[in-house]
Parts: sequence; structure tokens; C-alpha cells
Amino acid sequence: MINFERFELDNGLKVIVHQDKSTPIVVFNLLYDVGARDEDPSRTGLAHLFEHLMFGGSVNIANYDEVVEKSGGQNNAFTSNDITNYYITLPKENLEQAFRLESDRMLSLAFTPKSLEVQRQVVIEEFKQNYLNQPYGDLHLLLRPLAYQKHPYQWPTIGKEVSHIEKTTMEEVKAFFYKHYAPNNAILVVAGDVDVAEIKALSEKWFAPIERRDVPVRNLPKEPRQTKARKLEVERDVPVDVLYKAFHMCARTHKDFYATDLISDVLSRGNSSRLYNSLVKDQKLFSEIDAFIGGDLDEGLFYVAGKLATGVSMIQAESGIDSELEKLKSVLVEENELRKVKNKVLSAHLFSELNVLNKAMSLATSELMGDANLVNNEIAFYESVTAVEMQNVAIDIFRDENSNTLYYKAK
Amino acid sequence: MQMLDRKKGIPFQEIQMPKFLAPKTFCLDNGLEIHIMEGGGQDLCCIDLVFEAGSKVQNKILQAGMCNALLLEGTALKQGEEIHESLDFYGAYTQLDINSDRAVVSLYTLNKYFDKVLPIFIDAIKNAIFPENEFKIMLEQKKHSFIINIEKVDFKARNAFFGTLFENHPYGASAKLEDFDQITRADVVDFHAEYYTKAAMKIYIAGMMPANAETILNQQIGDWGLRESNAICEYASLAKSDKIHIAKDGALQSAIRIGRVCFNSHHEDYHQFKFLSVVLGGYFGSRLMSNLREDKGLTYGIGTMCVHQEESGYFSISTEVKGEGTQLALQEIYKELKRLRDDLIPDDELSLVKNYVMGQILKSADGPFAQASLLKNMHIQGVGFEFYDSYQKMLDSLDAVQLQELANKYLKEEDLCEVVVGNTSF
Repeated sequence: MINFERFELDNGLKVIVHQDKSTPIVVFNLLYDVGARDEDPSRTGLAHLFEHLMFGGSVNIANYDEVVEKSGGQNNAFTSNDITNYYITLPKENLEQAFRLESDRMLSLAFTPKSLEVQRQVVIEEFKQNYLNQPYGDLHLLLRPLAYQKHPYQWPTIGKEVSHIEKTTMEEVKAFFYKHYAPNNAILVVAGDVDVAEIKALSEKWFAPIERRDVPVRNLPKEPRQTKARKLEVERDVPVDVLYKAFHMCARTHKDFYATDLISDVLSRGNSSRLYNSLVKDQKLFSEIDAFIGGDLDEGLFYVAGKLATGVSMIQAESGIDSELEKLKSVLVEENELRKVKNKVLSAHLFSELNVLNKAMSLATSELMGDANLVNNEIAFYESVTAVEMQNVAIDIFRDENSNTLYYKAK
Repeated sequence: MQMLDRKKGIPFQEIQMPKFLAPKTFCLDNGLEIHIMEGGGQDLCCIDLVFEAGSKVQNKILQAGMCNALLLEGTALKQGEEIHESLDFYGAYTQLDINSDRAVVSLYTLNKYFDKVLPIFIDAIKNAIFPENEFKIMLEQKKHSFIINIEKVDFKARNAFFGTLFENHPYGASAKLEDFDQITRADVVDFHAEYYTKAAMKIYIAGMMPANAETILNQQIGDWGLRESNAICEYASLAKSDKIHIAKDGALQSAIRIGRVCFNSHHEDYHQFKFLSVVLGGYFGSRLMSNLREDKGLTYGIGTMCVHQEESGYFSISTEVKGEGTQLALQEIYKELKRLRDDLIPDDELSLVKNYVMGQILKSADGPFAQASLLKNMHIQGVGFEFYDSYQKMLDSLDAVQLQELANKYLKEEDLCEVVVGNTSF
């Protein structure tokens, strides 16, 4: 159970405070409700490039990192298709430094040309390091546009191509900032040995003077229901064949999410899971196999992905997966197996509460989904899933015409 | 309301060392010590069995790693599937890890199932039989990962680097493709008999102690056969100044490793030298990151490490840089090393890094598992649980003159080995 209190400033900034007296650090986690899905299709990768620019100095503070480091703090950030999240962990004596730093970044950045030029290069190197100069690195660059034809999930957070990052201008960067970086588009979580009155006072002092901004209502194109199976086959200079299947699934806030997540657990959580035992150990079709959900907020993807065992053809491997998915559609998951995956979810949840940074991030994303208290309620939602619900979800998503299959072959 | 002056900085407060968990120790019937770091309050725990079964004691490449990876895959009475099924049913997690010095087997469990889970876990490790089928599957998995990894410039650079630094020591050994055909199930069984059945081990528990834990631990582990610790032979090495450049066609980036053999945490210079390596490349605002990434955009990241090993230790700089920038990157790295040798570190930077290091320790103290892992590492290294009690004093006493001396002692260009994989056409 994660206790918390919640309040909102007049400018729309939502603040959540979680008290944990056992930890020597305070987490200051600021989530902006903007991600790669909010990008212009001709300037993909901007949300992530922007995250880098957030460290290039703000209007009153030239060197962000130096202040964090002098405070004995650590900071990091990540961009996903849905959100951009910034956090600082620091000793509680220096907590106010985080308020000063983050409120100044929210107020405005320095927008120096040098910062844009350097970070553009850094991001291009990141693109190369993780997506181009790496075996299988371009996999998601191929799979996303196969699965999504309308919705902006069709590109990964790094962007569709390097040229989009090369072409981004300072004007576009500034416009992006004023459109999305606003108190009324952010959620702040402060967690640690702190009290609410103190956080209220600090929030008022540093964030209240920032004016509410005109954040456009998100209106993304909805992905039309897929009606035909899609296949893509590529050859690359890689040593082992890889097979990916992606099926459209419900949104993160849909009630079926929990049943869908448990299906992925039945298939591949732990060494006693179905895919490992059937396809790796018994039939030896794969050397490794995994089933997982993308975890996106909008309608996402359910993935099954495996490395083929030597000498196995794509067709054989794929029919092995298909028959396991078929089983979920035709036979109810047994009581014992369902109990097992639920127990595993429960214990993972308890272990994740050992660390205050985890707790802060979970509170922030739960609040974004509508209610910070989801972090506490979700266990009950998992607990209430029935075998029949899982079967219905399996029947709904594991349809051939809902599948996107990638054969990633070794040359 | 008074106008807020955002330009004006807030004074920085001095950071205090956190209060660490106080480890307690008790002895099992066979004399084995169990170290308990109790904290957190939640009814769960993590138990780590640390065996002196790292890759340095193996006779054959892959032997120690295969043995560790297959510990939970079956006993004479239970198939691997059954073992995993029951562990999963109780919501337990296991983790298998190995490095060149040690192998670690960890169990994470809710305390209410401790009495059910621990016997399954211990029985699996103690009585592992390494079934042929599981052996083959694991070998294929490892071979697949290996052939994917050898495509990566970073992996190649790493192997060439350690191969050169530790030329005549197991620390420098790395697998080759043919090693995957040489290793047999019998090798793994032998290794288990030698290093697990009779074990030199340490046990750590973090979290809350389950009810009756002492009794249960005694029943399960109190009769485990023990052996002497491995003898430690310190690795004596001359400085290597090799420059190894390996071309890789079509690589968009070059991987760079520069470094040397040095010493471990028992050496009088270790912690000071480690601090120096943080100044150079151990944090986001470090000299190398500021220069190569934030000023020149040559790389997504560059870092330094100063690593303790039981019989040695090493210092390394590693990065992946844009292919056409390889030469410039090398030049700038050597320039930063020279700057450490020639100039005193300014006071401002010194105190910033001290604060950064303290903050890092604080962050490692977030939660009982994180704290326990910090303490455990110091205990395994043999510097004791109380290591951090005096750490702040050491930090406070560091001065720029001393650090410059260390740079001149250990970071001379002619004592550093350089490996580049990727674009070598310069």
C-alpha cells in the first residue's frame, strides 16, 4: 500500500506527495504528458530530442547538471511514445534545489543554438548505437509501421529516420516547448521523508508563478481495426533468424488490460511458463522465446518474439507459436496456473515497493491514467481476472487478421 | 508576495552519510556464517548464496558459466520444470549471476512462503544433476547470444582489451566459437562437484527475517559440505602500451577502450584512484562526457571504471563514437588524461565530485535490498561491513595535489593500452 496526498495548484500542476521515512533520499519526479505520439509525422524523434535539450540550460540557470551534482543528486529522464519523465533523487536537505531547477525549466529554456547542434549530434549517435549499428537494432523501425497505419505509434521514440532529427529547427523546438511543457500538462510526485505542508509551500513558491499554457487537446488518429494479416520479411547481416508477431490489443486503461497482461504471463513469465517449456524445451523450435505487452497507453501491441533454433524454418517456428495461442482460445487456463501467475504479479508488486523511486514513478503514471490510487487498486483488478475473461481476450486478439508478422532472416 | 529571484542560487547543504542497516551474523551447525541485514519492514526477503565458483577457477572456457546457469534445471528426483513450477507458484524469483571471481544464486521470496520455497531452492542447487537436454538447450542459447554479440564493436573491443591486459590470467580469457563444441555435460558435473557440492561460500539475507528462519536455514544448509577458500595469487603485470586497432567494415561507430591493470580495494591508492576516475568519466558532468558528448557530440556516452577484482583490478575508459570522429575522440581522451596529470583539479570541481559521490551512496541506500547489496559487496571484497563508516573521512581528506600525483603515477600515456574496433582508417 502506497499512501499519498494530492493537491493541485491554480495553474493546473498536479502534485502528489508520498511519505517514506525509511529512505535517505527524496525523489522529485516530474512527468510531462507528451511523448512521441504527439509528434508531427515529418519531425519524428522531436519529443526525445527535446528531452536532451532540457539539460542544455534554462532561462535563469545555465548549468542544470552542475546544480544537481553539487546537491549530491542524481538525475535522469526518459521519453516513451506516451510520456516524457524527468527525475532527480537527492538528499532531503537539498530538496529545494530540485524545485528551483525544474520550475525554471518549466518556465523556459535557454534555447542556445549550440545546445541544439550538439544534442542533435548526440541523438544521431544514439540512433546509430542502438538502432543501426546493432544486430536487430532496426526491428522496431520495421515492425511499428507494419502494425500501425494511422496511429503515431507507427514510429519509435528515437524517430522514423535520422533525417528528421537533422532537419529540426530552433523554431520547431520552441513551438514544441510552449505547446507541451506547461504546469497544466504535468504531474509532480515528491516522495521520501517529507511532509505535505512543506511540499505545498515549496510548490507554491516555485511553480505557482508559472502561467497556465494553452495545451491543445490531444486528438490522435485512431488506428482502424485491422482486417487482414500483414507480413514482412527482411534479410539482414545477422547470425540468427528472429520471428516477431504483434497483435493489436486494448488500451492501458481498458478493463481487459489485466486479463491480457496475465495471458502474457501464462505464456512466458518464468521458466515454468508455456512457451519456454513447449517451444524451447520440448519441441526445440526456438532457443529463446518471449511474450509481452508493449505497455502503451493507447491501444497497444501484444508481442510474441523468438530466436529460432538452428535448422528450424520460419514456417515451423510460426506454427509452433500459433498452436500455443490456439490453445488459449480453445481451452480455459486451469485454476492452478491462474493462481500461479496471480501470485507472481502480487509478489512483483510487493518487491517493487521496496524502492522509493519506483513508487514515485508508479504514482505519476497512475495519476496520468486518471487516478494515482490505481497503483494500489491494480492488484485487486489482477486478482479478479477469470479464466473465461482470459479466453475471451485470447479469442479477440489472437486472430490471423489481427496479426503482424516479421520474419527477420539471417543473410 | 515577494518577487522570486530565480537567478539567485540556494546554498548547498552538506550531505550526511546515511545510517546503514546494522548487519548481524549467526552461525549454522557446519560453521557457515549467515549475514543478516534486516530492514524495510515488509514481509519479504532476499537470500544470496555467494560461491567461490567464478570463471577464474574453471579448467575449460564456459564451464563455470554453464554450471551456474543450469543450477535450477533438475535433480535426480525432480525435473527442472517441476522446480520452476513450484517456485513460480509461490511467487518467488531467482537470479543466477557469475563473474570471474564468484557465482551468486539469489532467491527473492515472500516470508509467508519461506518455509516452502527455501527447501526447493537449496535442494535444486545442492543436488543439481544437469540433465543432458537442458544442457544442450542452454548451450544453444549461449551460442546464439555469443554469435550475436561478436557482431558488436563494443563486445569485440572488450574482449581484445581484457585479452591484452590479462594476457596470462583467466581474467583475460574469453570464449571463441569453437569453445561451444568443446564443453560437455561431464565438465559441468565435475565443476559442480568441485565448487558447489563442497562449497566455499558466503550467505547474505536482506529484508525481514522470516519466522523460524534460523531453524529452517539450519535444516537446509547446516549440513552443507564446506571447503577451504581458493588461494589468491595476485596478478603481477607490467604496464601494457599495446595499440590494437581492428577494422570492421560498415561499422557506423567505433568502440574504444583505453586502460590498464591496476589494483583492488585493498591497495592504499584504490579509493582515491577510483575517485579520480569519477572526475574523469564517472558521472554525467565528468570531463570526458563534457568534452566528447556535450561539447563535440561525438558519442552518446563515455565512461570510466575502476574495478576491484580479487586477484587484480583494472581501470578503463570505454565509449562508442561516430566512425569519422574516432581519431578526434582518441585525441581528446588523451588530452583529458594529460590535463589530469598537468593541472590541479579546481576546488569547485573537487567539491562537486565529492558531493556527487556522496549522493550516489545515498541513492544506493534507497531500500533495504539496495543497502544490503552495497554492504555485501564490501564484505565480499574483504574490506568489511564497516567500510562506509570511514568513507566520508577519506573523501573529506582528498586533495587536488594528491589526485594529481595519482594521475602521474597511474595514468601516463605510455602505460595505457588502447583498443579500437570499427573505423581504423586514420
